[in-house]
Amino acid sequence: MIEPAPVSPPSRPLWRRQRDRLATALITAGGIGVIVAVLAIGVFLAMEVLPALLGGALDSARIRMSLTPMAWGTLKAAFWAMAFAIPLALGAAMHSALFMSQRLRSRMKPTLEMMEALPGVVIGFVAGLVLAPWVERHLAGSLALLLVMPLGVLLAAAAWRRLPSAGRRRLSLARAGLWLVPWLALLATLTLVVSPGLETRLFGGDLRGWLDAELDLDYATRNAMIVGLAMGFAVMPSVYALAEDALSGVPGRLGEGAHALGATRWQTLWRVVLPAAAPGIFAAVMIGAGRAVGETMIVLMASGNTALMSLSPFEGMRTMAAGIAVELPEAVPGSEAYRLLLLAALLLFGFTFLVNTLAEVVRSRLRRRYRWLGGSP
Amino acid sequence: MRAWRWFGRGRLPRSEGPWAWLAAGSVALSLLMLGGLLLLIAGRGLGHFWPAAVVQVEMEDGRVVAGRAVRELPLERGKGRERLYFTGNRDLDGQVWHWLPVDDIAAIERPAELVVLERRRHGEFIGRLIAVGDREAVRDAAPQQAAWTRLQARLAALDQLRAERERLRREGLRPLIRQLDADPDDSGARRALAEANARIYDLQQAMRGEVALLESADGRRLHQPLDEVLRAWRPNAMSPAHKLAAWGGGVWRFLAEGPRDGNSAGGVWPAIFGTVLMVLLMSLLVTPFGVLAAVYLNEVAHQGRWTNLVRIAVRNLAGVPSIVYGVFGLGVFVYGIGGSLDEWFFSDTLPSPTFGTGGLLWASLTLALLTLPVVIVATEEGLARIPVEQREGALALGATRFETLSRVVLPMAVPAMLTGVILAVARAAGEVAPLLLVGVAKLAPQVPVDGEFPFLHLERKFMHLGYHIYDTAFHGSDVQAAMPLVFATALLLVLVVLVLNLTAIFLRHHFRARHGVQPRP
Amino acid sequence: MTLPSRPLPSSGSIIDFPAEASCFQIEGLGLAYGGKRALRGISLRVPRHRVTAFIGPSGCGKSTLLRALNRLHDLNEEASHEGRILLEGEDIHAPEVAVDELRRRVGMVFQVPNPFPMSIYENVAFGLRLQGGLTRRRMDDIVEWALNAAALWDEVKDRLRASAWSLSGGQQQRLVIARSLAVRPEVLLLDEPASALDPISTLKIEELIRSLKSQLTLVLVTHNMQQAARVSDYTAFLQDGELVEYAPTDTLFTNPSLRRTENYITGRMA
Repeated sequence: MIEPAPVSPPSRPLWRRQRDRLATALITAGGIGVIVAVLAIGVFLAMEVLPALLGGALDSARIRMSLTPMAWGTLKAAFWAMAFAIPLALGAAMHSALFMSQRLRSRMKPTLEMMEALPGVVIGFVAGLVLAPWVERHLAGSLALLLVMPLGVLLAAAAWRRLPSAGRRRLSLARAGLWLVPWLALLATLTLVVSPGLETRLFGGDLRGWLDAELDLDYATRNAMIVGLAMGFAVMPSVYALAEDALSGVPGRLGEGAHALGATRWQTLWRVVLPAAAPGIFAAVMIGAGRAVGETMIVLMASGNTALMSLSPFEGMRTMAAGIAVELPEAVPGSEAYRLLLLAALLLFGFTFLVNTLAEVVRSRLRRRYRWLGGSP
Repeated sequence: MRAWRWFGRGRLPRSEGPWAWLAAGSVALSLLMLGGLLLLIAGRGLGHFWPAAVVQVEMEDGRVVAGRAVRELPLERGKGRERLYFTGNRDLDGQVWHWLPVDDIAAIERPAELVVLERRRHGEFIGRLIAVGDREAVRDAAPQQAAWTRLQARLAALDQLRAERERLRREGLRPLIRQLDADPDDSGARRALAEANARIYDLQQAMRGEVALLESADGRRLHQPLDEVLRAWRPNAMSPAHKLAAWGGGVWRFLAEGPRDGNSAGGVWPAIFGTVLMVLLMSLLVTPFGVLAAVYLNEVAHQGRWTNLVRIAVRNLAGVPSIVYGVFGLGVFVYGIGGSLDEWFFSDTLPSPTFGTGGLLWASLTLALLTLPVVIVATEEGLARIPVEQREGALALGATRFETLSRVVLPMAVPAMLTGVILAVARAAGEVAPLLLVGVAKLAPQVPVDGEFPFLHLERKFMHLGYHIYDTAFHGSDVQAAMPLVFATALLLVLVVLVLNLTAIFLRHHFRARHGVQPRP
Repeated sequence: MTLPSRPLPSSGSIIDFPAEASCFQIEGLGLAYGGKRALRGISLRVPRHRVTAFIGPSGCGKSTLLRALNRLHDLNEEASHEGRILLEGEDIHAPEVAVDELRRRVGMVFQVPNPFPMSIYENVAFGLRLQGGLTRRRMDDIVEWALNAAALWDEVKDRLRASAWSLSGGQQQRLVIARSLAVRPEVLLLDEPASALDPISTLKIEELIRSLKSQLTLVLVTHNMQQAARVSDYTAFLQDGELVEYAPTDTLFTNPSLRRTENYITGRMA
């Protein structure tokens, strides 16, 4: 079977080895170079700001005066965004991790990834120029929607239990994420049709005036509620994705144990899965908060950019990111205003970096724990 | 909970309880919002190009207005409703909007003869066409029967003249000017230049000669020079097929033309061009460097505590706000490197900066830095997925480490790299905040690529789709009038970003599936 | 199998060095990963143009020993070694030895078939292209020869441009062997080459191993006693990182010198 063996091919070992050494050296140099360049951001900001800060070139009273409203605005915007995003994202994550079929889940995730990819400038535009004036005109209806949506879902659930079993199968809880959509759309339309009448009866037809007179709340067109809604919309998908990963990563054994004891899926989720995944969910919320703090375009377009320090959700604010975007191009390099804005950037950088590191550490611990518990990583 | 028990009284099936339903509701609500947003953008963005019907409204008090209905709102304190009409004719009325109380409307008609003219200045005209001809001839002309056909013929002729003029400028004038720049004493070129100028002047005179006599719905007359009229149509006389063709033409012009009227009309071609060019430059920068860093981290670096720390740090940089990258770009690229470049090479033009101000290069660099973590993370994931047997197989054949890397490992990681680059491009295309600091322009008269050496002008400012949205929506003179255009731009941007993301998702899926198929008996 | 009549020593190690010319000569080899010792004090000779099998319970270090023979353990940065491995009288850890040349001389086939994501032809030509300097004709000849030697030529000659991943598991493993043969190694290391294959493919691989003996030295790691008994000429039994017994295969399986060996063999064969 075996033919005369061809002699061993000529080799060029020296050249190959030198090339290998050269390539390795180049990759090392290039890799380290790139990584240094990426990490240089923090170094640059620190070098620009810290000498002035420590050397007393920046007066602390001045810092307090100019940065406090922006810091306040940043926290306020992030708070309302998270207030909106957390329930929505976690609810969606729980539903898709534990109730949805595998097929539906594999469609759901890319859909929400699309949502994450929507450019901030588009969301900001729609929020600032379409949603804000619209909400101002339909204030009563919009506020009513906040109440009607959850109630509508519960109503649907109650009605579901009285359906014949064939109907219950068709409109199963696993697919509720889909068939509730038209129902909610219908409810929203109804609410908006009915609300002007209610507004007339309850608030004399002018909720804005009523808010001003009774509660002393000033209503600005572009306000924290709008920003919260828009930014919550933008932040929600990433919180969802991370929380979903944490929940669906919980080893199946844990849940099966509870099921075997006769717990419903929700009880299993609440008593067993959720505590196991809590660190992952915490990490998801942290990363979401980091996003909300740094988002620029949405705030710039939907907040009104007034450096107010009020608690009211119906008034605007100015965040650090928006402040930098507006003022920095006009600040003279090296001037005090320039340094102050760079300090704001450093704060943003430090905060998001810390929050993300924390979240990353928590997540990697959790992954190890899941592996230890015998689940898929 | 008690209420829930009430709901569940009797022999009803056991249920998961209210919270499970609320969780399902949040999925539904998210989908509803996403769908609503996309529908809104798509509807308003595409609807803008549809030649909508124009109505003539007669009020009880005898006022007559012609325009397109835009929306309707209840009046203050619930006394009826009022309707907003877009009426155009900024030169006659000083405004383009009319709010009319619905109860006071006496009659609404749709006369077929109403024309809409799109003009270079003052926006649209809505009214009637009386006559077309020389300025003197139509001064007080009686309504002409054939005015509409004549107008269309004249507009077509004008289009040809414009094309001719543009061709002359491009092929005759510019080379001559460059020739003269190089050799100011070239008398032949000087003469040729004078001739070309004269021809263009003649053409312009020929275009300027004629006017259209127009009459608004309430009877005021207007002489409109024809060379300022871009297009004319009679929406009420158009068949659906005609309208569809006009809609297609409108979409095409939106994509292919430059902006007019302070960005509130016309197209977005320079913004598309600028966005694509910047993203292209950015991916040229980010791909090699991102891959290099990922290869270093995953293949070359000693896998220890430090490498892990660096890896986490790089990952976290993806979460640092984009505006911070903008600050870095402004401080380091624009003021730092750009300022130095100006001092060394462009000192003759100082104090007006060349590279020391925002521009294409600095924007691309900043966005490349911003998207580096995306590419590094995706590539690293791809590298880590390649089975160790593949590497050992190559090594066992006598391959060096570099040969293993370049012939086996990297080719297998290409889909992952591609996914990373596409995600980076999608992120960069939609990112506006850093560009506010490092170099977009509201209106860039010159695109950064032209026939002049060095052809690609890295120092120039450029237009960007995302910035165009921000600027037009917030700093335009008439935001209401520009809104449809902003919606169309937003739709374009969203489409680009979504298509890119879908491609990335598909690639990733395909890649994972292919690796799964590898037989593992 | 009946218990041998004479009492066997229960510990110590018996090494029956083959009298034949040796290809590898391992002297007091010890290997550690980080602080963890994987091998200690291993000395044996691998005879030229014979099949030598390493057997032992999983985790005994047989694969580690195999991978040490072409220095694949170098890939782990924490690995350290003591003792010597001589290939044809040269220390393979000597500084003047180039690792890539060593690995070309000592080919390796792994447990899981690992063809590259390229065509069948390109897989076999991969090692040749690294060396360079071959004409197209010559390359074609060598590829054909290697596929013939691996008993795969008849099955794939009409689809050399097809993806290697389209082959069956057994075919992939033979392709990988052909790929190794193409660079003309002196030794072929086989790390449980048939453990992931079906019985018929296993049979083919075993036939192939026997037929290759005339051209090169083969070292086989297997957890399958019968396989070791069927194909190998010499067998080494390892336990807990130590060499327990090394003898001609017939001797080791029918008449082991140590109680430990016998326990393992009888336990596994039964």
